[in-house]
Amino acid sequence: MKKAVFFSLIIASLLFSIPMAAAEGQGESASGAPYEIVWYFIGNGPQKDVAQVEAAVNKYVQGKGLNATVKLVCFDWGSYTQKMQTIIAAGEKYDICFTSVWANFYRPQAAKGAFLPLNDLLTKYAPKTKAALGKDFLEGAAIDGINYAIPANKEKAHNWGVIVRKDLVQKYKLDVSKIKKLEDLEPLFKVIKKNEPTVYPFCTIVGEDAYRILDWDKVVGDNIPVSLPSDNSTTRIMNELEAPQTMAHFKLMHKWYQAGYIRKDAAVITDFMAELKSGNTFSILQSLKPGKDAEMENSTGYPWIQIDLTQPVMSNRETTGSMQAISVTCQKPEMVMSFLEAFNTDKYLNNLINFGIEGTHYVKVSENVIKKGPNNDNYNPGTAWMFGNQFINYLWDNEDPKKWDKFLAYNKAALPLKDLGFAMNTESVKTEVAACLNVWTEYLPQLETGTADPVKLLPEAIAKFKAVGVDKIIAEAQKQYDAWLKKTGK
Amino acid sequence: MNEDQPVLLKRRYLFPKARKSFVLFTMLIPGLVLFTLLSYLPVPLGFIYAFFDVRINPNLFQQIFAAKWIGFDNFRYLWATPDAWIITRNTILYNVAFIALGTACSVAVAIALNELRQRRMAKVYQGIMFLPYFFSWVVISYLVFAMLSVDLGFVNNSILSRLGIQPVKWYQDKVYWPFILIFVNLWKYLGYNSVIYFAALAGINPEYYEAAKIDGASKWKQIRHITLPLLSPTIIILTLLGIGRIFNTEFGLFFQVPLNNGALFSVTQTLDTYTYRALIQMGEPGMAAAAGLYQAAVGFVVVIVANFIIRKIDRDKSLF
Repeated sequence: MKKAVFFSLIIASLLFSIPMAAAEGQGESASGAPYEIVWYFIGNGPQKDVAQVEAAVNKYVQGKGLNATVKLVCFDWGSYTQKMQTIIAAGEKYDICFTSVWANFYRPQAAKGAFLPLNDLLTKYAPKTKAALGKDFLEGAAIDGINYAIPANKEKAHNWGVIVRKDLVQKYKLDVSKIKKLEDLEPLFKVIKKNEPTVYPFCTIVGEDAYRILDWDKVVGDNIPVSLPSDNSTTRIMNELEAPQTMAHFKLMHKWYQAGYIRKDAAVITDFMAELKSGNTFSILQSLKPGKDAEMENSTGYPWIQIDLTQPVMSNRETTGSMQAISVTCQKPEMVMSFLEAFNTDKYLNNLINFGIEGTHYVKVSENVIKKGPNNDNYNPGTAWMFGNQFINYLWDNEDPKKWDKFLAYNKAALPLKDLGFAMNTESVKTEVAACLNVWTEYLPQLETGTADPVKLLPEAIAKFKAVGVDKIIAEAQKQYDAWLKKTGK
Repeated sequence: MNEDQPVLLKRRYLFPKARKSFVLFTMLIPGLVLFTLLSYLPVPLGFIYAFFDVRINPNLFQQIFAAKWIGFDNFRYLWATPDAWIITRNTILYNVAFIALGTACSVAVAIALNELRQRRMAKVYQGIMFLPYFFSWVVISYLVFAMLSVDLGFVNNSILSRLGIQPVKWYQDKVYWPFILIFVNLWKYLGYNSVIYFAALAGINPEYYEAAKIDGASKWKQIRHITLPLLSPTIIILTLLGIGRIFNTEFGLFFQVPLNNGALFSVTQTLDTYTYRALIQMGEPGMAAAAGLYQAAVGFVVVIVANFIIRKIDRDKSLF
């Protein structure tokens, strides 16, 4: 009897700990009823006024003869990848999702068959989008010639540089015109450190580190040290950690850390937006493009000056940096593609989804320039740069009115990397990749933030990477890359 | 139930009994349904994901039938690191520490609460101790960070500095972390676990204590010879359940609380964090399923063995 009591006690406690799972009803749409296009994307999280915007979108697209309604689901920056992994693995019905090299990972998801091949659909239902993106860019985004997602039409290159606080530069009359490399920032840091005790002169934290200035062209993934240099100087894939410039960079960071230019617990800080918004950060390394300073002012609330440090290059980062894919679970791919075509070419529709409703979420200053509306906080997904076609976006009133022209010039000036369009298949080395990802988290944050002395820790990290088989990944990558070079004749 | 009744008779009584407690049995249904859906149904799917190469297909059946057998390929990464031994050691040792210390402390607290004369105060203490159980690990990780941050933390700023001790770089020195993790885990679960023992204590017949008092037994002797023996079945069951999860670790405790800090990996890396760090960027459900299956399999074997040993010692106290 006593045992029964204990058992029921245990069972009761187990039952309380079972998480409740809510099953989402998926009503079949009857013929004639509008088809619901479900769109998952990354941004500032769920928006309060999304229903209003959806209603406006539905009215507009139905007026254009598309028998559809649109459901916009925005997950925040931190949780998007995880949520999409679950949604995709569960085979849930949805239509469009954001995918890229850095969130909701494009290559592995495409390899698993999560997305529809879009080449034919693009030609048939989205010719204008296809023409606007251009052949090179689309080919760069393809995997073995197949496009599983449509890249956004925006800047097609990246370069690295720092943004520094304009107000502080002006206050202390600092000269930023002569800064050509990271080391040149030191005199500025000295002044800031002396006069602004609450401000950290330089921000390099986990995930937003200054190490990216070396611009390694990653072959496998961001956190695997298997790379090519970003200057087309060689087709030899190597371990980036063994390069002399890597050691030099980490030494500089360690010097700055000891000088107190970097916050003491940088190795455990991950939210760079919080660092910038707090006003306690003087400078940070960022991926740049024309008008980045104004964009950062809008998202952080502080004025910035951008200083370019590296040359713009067009890499796989850009071609697969921001895309929309159509799910294999989508029931009407043709309709969804037509919708995306409208979204990419129709100025009204595009800006409606990006900025909300005129007069409520934004107010027009002139034809193409807008400022925040009374209810801007209720709809501000922060997604303009990742959707469709930036060249038809409105500009905020603090932005350069020539921004889109500068984008075009920037795209032209960029150096296309040789491996554009090469996507490694990691299936045969997934064991090694899994182990390497752990080694990366173990060592790199400490090195990137200058917390640890690289003379001691970097050789240790290299040895550990070798022990878990990084050389096997390099060999496999080289083999696939050589074959690809031969096949494409590059 | 009378133990020397023949088995046949027992069977015959089972049905009328079930009818008699019909209402009680219906209460089981929601739990059973959920348990079947969420715990038993995923088991075959987990097997398939672990041993087959599954491609995404809106049709679940097509997805399963099109899958390709790949054997133990998905499991290899679990041992493909020189740290495999450290990871396994951390996983097991922390769990042993949690089970041993957790049980000892919860029982002690439950007994202490039970001995309190002022029932109202006992409830207050219980409530205070229960509170951390409701905090999510993310919240706890920030509480710990507020305590231990190098330049802004409470411990360095308000305690050590006043004592004239140099500030400690808590997040860079791994020697402190086994203690910190064990303490934080204990703090979070002490209240919750002691309630279970407290409930069991309430079921002990007060006549035992009255008889002991008449015989002149001290408080300590009463605890040793009455409370603990009568509590032992609960202790054993909870310990067995804990042992069954010896290869699983509380992810939040080992990932969030040390803030995913590489410098501490040799004392904070467990099977769960290793798997997470590998797969969050790879997105391979197959490898995740393999890790889960491995943990479940080891847990299953350990529970069977532990139960077998307990059965040998005292048949009545074993779980099954």
